[in-house]
This record gives sequence, structure tokens and C-alpha cells, in this order.
Amino acid sequence: MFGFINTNVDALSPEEEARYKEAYCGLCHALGSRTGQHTRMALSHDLTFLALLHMSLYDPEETKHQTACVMHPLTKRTWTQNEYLDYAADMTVALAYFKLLDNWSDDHSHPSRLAALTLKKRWLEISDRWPRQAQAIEAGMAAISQIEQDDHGNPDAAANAFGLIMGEIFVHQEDFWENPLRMMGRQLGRFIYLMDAAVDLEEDRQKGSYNPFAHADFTQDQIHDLLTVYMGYVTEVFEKLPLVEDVNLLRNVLYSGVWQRWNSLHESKEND
Amino acid sequence: MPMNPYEVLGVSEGASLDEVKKAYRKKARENHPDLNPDDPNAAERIKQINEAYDRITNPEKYARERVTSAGPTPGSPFGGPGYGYGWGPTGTGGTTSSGTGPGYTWTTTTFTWEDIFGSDWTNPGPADPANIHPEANPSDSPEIKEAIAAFNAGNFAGAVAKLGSIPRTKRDARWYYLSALANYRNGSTALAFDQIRKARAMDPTNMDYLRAHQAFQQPGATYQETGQAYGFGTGGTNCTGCCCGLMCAQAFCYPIALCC
Repeated sequence: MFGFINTNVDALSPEEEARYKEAYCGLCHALGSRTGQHTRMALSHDLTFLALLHMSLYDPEETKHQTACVMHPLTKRTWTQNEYLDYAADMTVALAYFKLLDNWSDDHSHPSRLAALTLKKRWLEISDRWPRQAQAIEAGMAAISQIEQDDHGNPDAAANAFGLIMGEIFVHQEDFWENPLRMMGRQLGRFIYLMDAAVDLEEDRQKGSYNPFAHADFTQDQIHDLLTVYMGYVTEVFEKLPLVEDVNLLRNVLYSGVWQRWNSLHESKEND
Repeated sequence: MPMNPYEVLGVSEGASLDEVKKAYRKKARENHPDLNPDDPNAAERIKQINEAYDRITNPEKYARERVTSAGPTPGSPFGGPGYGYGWGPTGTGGTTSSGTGPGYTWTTTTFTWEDIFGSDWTNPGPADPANIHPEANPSDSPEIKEAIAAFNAGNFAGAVAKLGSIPRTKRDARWYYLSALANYRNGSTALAFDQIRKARAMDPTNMDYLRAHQAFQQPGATYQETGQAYGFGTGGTNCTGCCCGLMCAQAFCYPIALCC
């Protein structure tokens, strides 16, 4: 489900690409130092985007570093550190913990169960530090599970539940900006859930797995158009935020990057 | 409280949105609490700056303040019909907000999952389907009339439920049209699209159904236009969404319903 909120690298300027990497590496380091090296596997583009959004909005003090790392031992990479990357790291772990629990209950994957147990202590710390978000994640994941089981045919049911989770994650603190951030998160969450369903549709149909589009009459074009509506809601809010720093990078993600997997799926189909 | 927001931000009244944003950033940085640790008024000044920005970017919200006393209308926690999405208090949907903002007191609500299908998804787009107010026909059944009344009172979940109680054998084009409207406002966007297409298939020349379909699509069309204006394309499949946004206005699509 994660990975759709990514950049379109081809459309980034070298400076933008460098800045994105600074944040991405920054998130990786935050995960490593806050939770441990093993959680760097949970690193995602989605929460890198969120950190950059917060950084642009709140203009925090950033500490830059230049180091080599486990993944890139030969060259030094510049990375940045600030409270919003720390937050993104905490949210990454929280979501990863529940994803693992989900895998365990769906597929009885023992590796998932073990991994979840190693994260449990960190999850408890995180839910202490961010109780509102933790409650939203826990309750939301349970709701989604139930909705997927019930499968009563409303394609938006699970997407809306996921939207509520992302809405709370997008709100770092309850302040002046909480409402637009919450709205952005909610709509982006809906988009993520349904985009994920859209790219999995064929496979799910074959396997008889739950998919919100399975019972509905949507052609691929109609799904594409539906998804642009959700992105329309996201960007309508986004464009009203007073963002200047990194705004083109953020626009790259929202207007172009989010379609990359969809595009490559459909291009490969055309070439078949 | 007579604030001149343009003065607060230090921009002229004709400034573009970009200029307003830049002015905001300059003021915000100057008054940043981290950079003014010994200044107790920094936080208050930030509040003023935030409110000034809000007044310039969401003028409708403050226009409404002059007319009514305060608070969101029931069933539309994001601000009510014809009104932009409003940055007022969040309503239901499992939020536990507290505190005050300019002119508002935020309420604390507990987290309930019945709120998933609540009216938190009010369409914020310019062609706000909130402006579509279905009217009852004399020939409508009592259930249909009740559903329409619920819808116009902002009770979209109620409208959906009422329509859902009507047996499948009585579900004609009008039923699909009304359901589409109610589901759209109630946060079931995909279902709304499915239903409006069914309504149009059953009654292809109906202009109300066409208008509703266009209104639903408008955020997507605007999104693609805006993206292109910033130099980004979504790529991917043929852009039927673009078509519907621009050309349907001239009834190109009608009656063949080429789009979607």
C-alpha cells in the first residue's frame, strides 16, 4: 500500500533530487537512531513526503550531516535532521507494526509475527508520545480488517477508514494548520487505498481476494478519472497552504509522482 | 475585530496568491518562536499572521461569520453548502481537537467508527455539488420525498439510508441520480460515480444528470489542468477526465456520453 506517494524522478531538477534524498536519507537515519537499524527496512517515500510537507509549512531548524552509511558505505551522503523527520520515523514504525500484525493474521506469516514482536516496545513508546495518532492507527486498522471481511460492496468504505488514519498522521500537532492538514491526509489516504486496489485488481480477481473494485463496474479509464478526483481534493487544500520552500518538489509528487506505478502498469500492458 | 490582513502581511491588495505566500513566509520567519525565544509576544504575532493569511485565502469563511453567529451547520462540519471546505472546527470522524482558533472554539469529540460514513467529505471543489438541491416532483413516492428532504437538510447519511430502503424493482434513473448525489456528499465517491453513470445510461438526455456528473468530475479536471499549468502531466491512460471538464460544458458529450 505504501510507495505511491513518490517523486517522478525524471521531472526533478538536480537540486530537487538532492533535497529529496536529503530528506529520504534523513528519515532513514531517524529510523535507525530512534528505533534501530532493523527498522530502516520500513523506510518509505510516503512519509518522506509528509516530512517535507511539514518542513515546508513549519520551517523548523534543520541540522545537516554528511556521512557514509550502511547502505552506501563508499560515498558520503548529505542528510538532514529535524523534529518532523523524527515524527515521520515514529509514524513509519507505527504503521509498520500494524502492517506486520496484519500479515500475521492474514497469512499466518511467522517472520511477520516475530518482526512485530521486536517492534512492540517501540510501538508502546510511540503510542505514549503520540496518543491521538496511535489511537487512529489502531482503531483504523481494525475497522479496515472488518470492512474487508464483510465486503458489503461500498468501494469507499475501507478507503475512507484508511483516510481517517492518514488524516491523523498528517496532523503533527493540533494547531492552526490542523484542519487543512487533516483534510489533505484524509483525501490522500483514500487515494492511496484505492490506487493500491486498482493496481491489484486483476490479481485479486483471479485469486478471489477482497478488492473494492471487484463488485463494481469500473473500467480502467473510469478508475483513473475517479482517482484524479481524490487528488483534486488533496491539491485543492495543498495549494492554499503557505508553502514556498520545496513547493515544486511537493508538486512533482502530487501532480505526477503518484501516477508512476499506474503508468508503468498500463504501459507494460500496452507493450504485451 | 477589524484586521486589515494585507497590512498584517505587508502585501498590496492586488497581490497574487504566490506573493501572499511569500509575504507570509517572511513574516512567519521574522516572528518564529525559535528565533525569538525571549519574546512573549512572538506567539501572538504568529497568530495574527496566520489569521491574516486565512482571511485572504478563505474569504468566504469570514464573510459567513458576519452573517451567522458561529459554528458549522449540522451535517457539514467543514463549513456548509456553497462554501469552500472551510478551515473551521473539525466535526466528527474521530478527532479529539481542543483549543481555540480565530473566532472558533473547537469541540472535543470521542473517536467513533460510526463516523466513517459521516459527512466529513464535503466536496470542496469549485463546482460544488452542494449547489445541487434536488426538488421533489409531485409524482415522487413518499420515500423519495423524504430522502430529498433529508438531503436538503444536510442529512446525507439519512438520505442514503432512505433511498436504500426502496426496493430494487423501484430503482429507476431518478433513484440512481438521487442516490449518486447523496452518496457523493456522504463520502462514497466511487459509488456516486457508478450510480450517476447508471442514471445517465437509463436516461441519456437528462441534463440534470449530466450536470451532476460534470460537477462530480470537476475536482479531477481542475487537478489535471493545474498540474499541467505547473508543468506536470499525469501520463497514463487517455485523458477522458480532461475532456469532460472542458468540453462537456458545450454539450459535446451529450447525448452520446463519450466521457466516463
